Amino acid sequence: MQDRNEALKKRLLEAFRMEAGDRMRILADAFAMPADAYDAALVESVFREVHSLKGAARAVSLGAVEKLCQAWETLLADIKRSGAGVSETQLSVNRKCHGLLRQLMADAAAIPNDQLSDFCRRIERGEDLAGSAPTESLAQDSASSDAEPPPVQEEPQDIPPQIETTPITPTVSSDLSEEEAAQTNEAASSDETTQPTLRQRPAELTGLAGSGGMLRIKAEHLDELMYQVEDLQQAKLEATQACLMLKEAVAGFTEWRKHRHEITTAARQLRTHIEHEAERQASHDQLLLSIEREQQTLIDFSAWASDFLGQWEYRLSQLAKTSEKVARGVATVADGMHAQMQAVLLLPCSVLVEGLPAMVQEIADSLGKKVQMRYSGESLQVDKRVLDELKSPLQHMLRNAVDHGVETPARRREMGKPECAQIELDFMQENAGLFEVRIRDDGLGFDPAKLKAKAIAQKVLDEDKAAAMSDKDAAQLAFSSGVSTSSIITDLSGRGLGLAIVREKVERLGGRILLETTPGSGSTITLQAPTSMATYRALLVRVEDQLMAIPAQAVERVLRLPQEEIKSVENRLSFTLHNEANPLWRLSDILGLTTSVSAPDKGVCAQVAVMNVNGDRFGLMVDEVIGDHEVIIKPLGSQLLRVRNILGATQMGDGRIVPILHPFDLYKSACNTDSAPLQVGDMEELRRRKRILIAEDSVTSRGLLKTILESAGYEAVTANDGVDAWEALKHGAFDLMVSDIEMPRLDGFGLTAKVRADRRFAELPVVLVTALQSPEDKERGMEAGANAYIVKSGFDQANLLEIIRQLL
Amino acid sequence: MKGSTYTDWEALKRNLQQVEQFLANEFNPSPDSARARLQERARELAEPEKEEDESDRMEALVFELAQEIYALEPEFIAEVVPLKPPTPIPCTPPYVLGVIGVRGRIVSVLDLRVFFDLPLKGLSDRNSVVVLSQEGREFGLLTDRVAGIRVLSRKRLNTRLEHLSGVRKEYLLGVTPSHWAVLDAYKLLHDARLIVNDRI
Repeated sequence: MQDRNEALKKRLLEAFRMEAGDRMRILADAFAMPADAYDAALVESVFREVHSLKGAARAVSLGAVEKLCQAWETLLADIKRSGAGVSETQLSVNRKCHGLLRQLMADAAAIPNDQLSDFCRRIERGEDLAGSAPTESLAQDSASSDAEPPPVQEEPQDIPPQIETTPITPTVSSDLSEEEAAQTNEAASSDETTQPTLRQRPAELTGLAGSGGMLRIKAEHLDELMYQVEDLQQAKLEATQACLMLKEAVAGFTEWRKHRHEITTAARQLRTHIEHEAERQASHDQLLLSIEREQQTLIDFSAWASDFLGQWEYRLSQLAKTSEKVARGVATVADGMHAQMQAVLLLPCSVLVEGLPAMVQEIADSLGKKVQMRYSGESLQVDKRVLDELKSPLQHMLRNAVDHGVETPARRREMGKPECAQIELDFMQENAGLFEVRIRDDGLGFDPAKLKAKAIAQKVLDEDKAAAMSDKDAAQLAFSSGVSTSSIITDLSGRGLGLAIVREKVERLGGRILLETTPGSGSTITLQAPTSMATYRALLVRVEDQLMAIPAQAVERVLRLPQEEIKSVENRLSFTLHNEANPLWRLSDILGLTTSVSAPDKGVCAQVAVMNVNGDRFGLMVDEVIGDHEVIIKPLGSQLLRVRNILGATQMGDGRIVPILHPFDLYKSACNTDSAPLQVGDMEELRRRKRILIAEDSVTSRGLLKTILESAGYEAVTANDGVDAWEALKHGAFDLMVSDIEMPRLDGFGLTAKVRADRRFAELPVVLVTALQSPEDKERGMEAGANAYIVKSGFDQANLLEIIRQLL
Repeated sequence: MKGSTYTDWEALKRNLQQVEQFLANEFNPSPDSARARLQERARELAEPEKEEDESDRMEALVFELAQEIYALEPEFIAEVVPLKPPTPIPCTPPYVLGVIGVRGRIVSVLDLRVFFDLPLKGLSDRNSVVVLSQEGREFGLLTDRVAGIRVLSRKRLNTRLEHLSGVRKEYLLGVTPSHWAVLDAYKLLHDARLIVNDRI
């Protein structure tokens, strides 16, 4: 019995910890808000949280926590009654309460009882605790919860709220703990049903399993359920298909029925005829007798077969009827579940916001910046799958805003702005199928001129185009891969990849992203995404015998072009639309599909999808445009993380899987496609495929490197060791060399040194690829004159290709 | 000089005949010797089962591919599904055969024959896909014919694979006495080289 009580207590404590963790997170977010954001509703929600915590603490007999909550509740009740909002002092006390509570949660005996009583008295009166909170216990607090920012020094009372000592839950770890929490919750709630003793828990604690008809379920179970529901759709289609086949089989009997009567009649006549004949010729020979017998057999069989088929016709028609009923039943269930699933998957955007204000504060604190974050419209309901996908882009954009957008307080003073920067996050329904997330900051904004310069340097843009580009269009360059205006790369951002990945994620959802910026006074990023996963539209096309889907938002229109309207100059194709010549490619060329090239038929029109990717208009020639379809976009699985030109895939109603093309990639690939139209400037440069020499003694690595480079569009030549490579270099022209370090005869260092010593190859970029990890080796490589040094253990394709692209 | 180039045709003929005879015996053993040999083999196969301890026992899913027999540890196998015609995905490496739908998910199917540089012939029409999955990594392997779960002995795995060549050797746990290649599913699943992550 004792054991059982202990176990029960332990479970209760676990459940409490989980609940308290959730509530503390909500409170942390609430206290990250500025004082003037506290309206009656927010105060009420804080009050409720604290009240619930108190109840929960009582249930697990955590006296200290309960005591603190009690005092806190009194203070909040006063605030509530006064209805005059929250003063800075009150907010500061609240934050302190939160901090103290965290300490108590970590260790119930962290604060001596008499000190706690003193605190509680002051809290009840709404007096600030500044100075009275022991600093060593604060330090202890931050030490006990790892990954927390170092405690900021206590400051006088009139400081703005953002550098408060409020400990903030780091968002990074919160995901994990939530996951664990969900697990313990599950265990706890299942216990609840089996153990009657638990029923006596106070309402607040049972509430965590299902207050207000809400349930917590593990996200992965929901995802699994979603897959199953989608599978059911497949079953529905199969059932319908089976029903159709049965109906066809029944219909096949119509033909037989037409002849059935004739055959029966003929058989009957034949039988009568034979009998007559037999009577007429009383005596006849054996031969005739046997023929008669055979005829008789045939006639009998024909009669039997006729009956037999008749039975089968009946059975089949019954089967068809049953199958129709089954198919209809399955369809009703499948459609119902599908619709219900869509509803279940709708979550308020607040789940997306959770943890973000705290994260913003944390980053701001670590950078010595002052930021206030507000959000609105978070009650908007959106498909969970969309929200899942938006979580990291949103975090990234906020991180970016704080890191790059917002200036330091000193700088802001100089610019005549308030010291504390504002970041606003708004959720808005755009139309039935679309919603918008707007992230506004009043920081530096993006500088279009800087973005242009960077894009030119990264060869994302050419100078003529840059000159003609409006500032508004230039701002969108921030979303191009490799363009970051930050001169330093920090842990947070600045690699120039972040916003490109954000854009890709949003586009993958079928959404769009737009940047408006006023240099010096801030920027607004508007992110549009569908509210449901089911509303992604794509144009279905056929290339040879393969189906492909093109996201509809990138397709401007579909054209049928007579052959004579396609201009061909030096193997480059173009067509005219709106009095403007636009480049045209065969989709199969871009995708590198081997096609049976046949001379274009004069009479046949070319089917062209006119694409518009960020203002660049181009045509894609396909074999057939099938039509507009609603698709559910799915990832290609964990092995195909990112495939060039492919966004994902979708499963059609008949079970066929169709790849969905990536419009942005397509345009980029098209520009690199041989014998394809290009902007005049960089045509010559791109026309010749770059030749790369690979020096590598391992067959495996050699083959792998060759495949990687060739699939990236380079011409790769291999050499077995340093001496071979040297010979190859002397006899052929190469644009770059990739070399292993450990090779027989002549190693990578030696080879590099030899290359550098020769005037002809002084400019040849050399990339050393090696298993050697030591810094000395790296230094040795650089000394020998290598341009880059990649360690094989960290050797991923993207990295290698990125480096090669930069060097070429 | 002549003497040294003299050939003893008779001796050579006898030699050839002997070899011929030997080969004929080897390929057409008499019923008795065949039975004796089979029994011996059966004993060999049966014996270690008795003395092996639990830790030595190793279950494995056995399948054929390119006329060779492979085995995989079942703990990494999510399921085995019959091969529906995979949808080829453009711009993927040649060892990616395409993708198939498995329970509402999309799973890529890899052709190890390409990756291991094996001859591309010898696929029957009984192809299945063995779906490997662990820690969020997942893909399918094309197989020719799945024979089922067999019990192998770890001790008897030959892990000295010098005689093997090519990429394959890196992904083998060992070779059984009956020359089944036991694949290292964990390594396959977690090998960054097999992951396509191609940004442009």
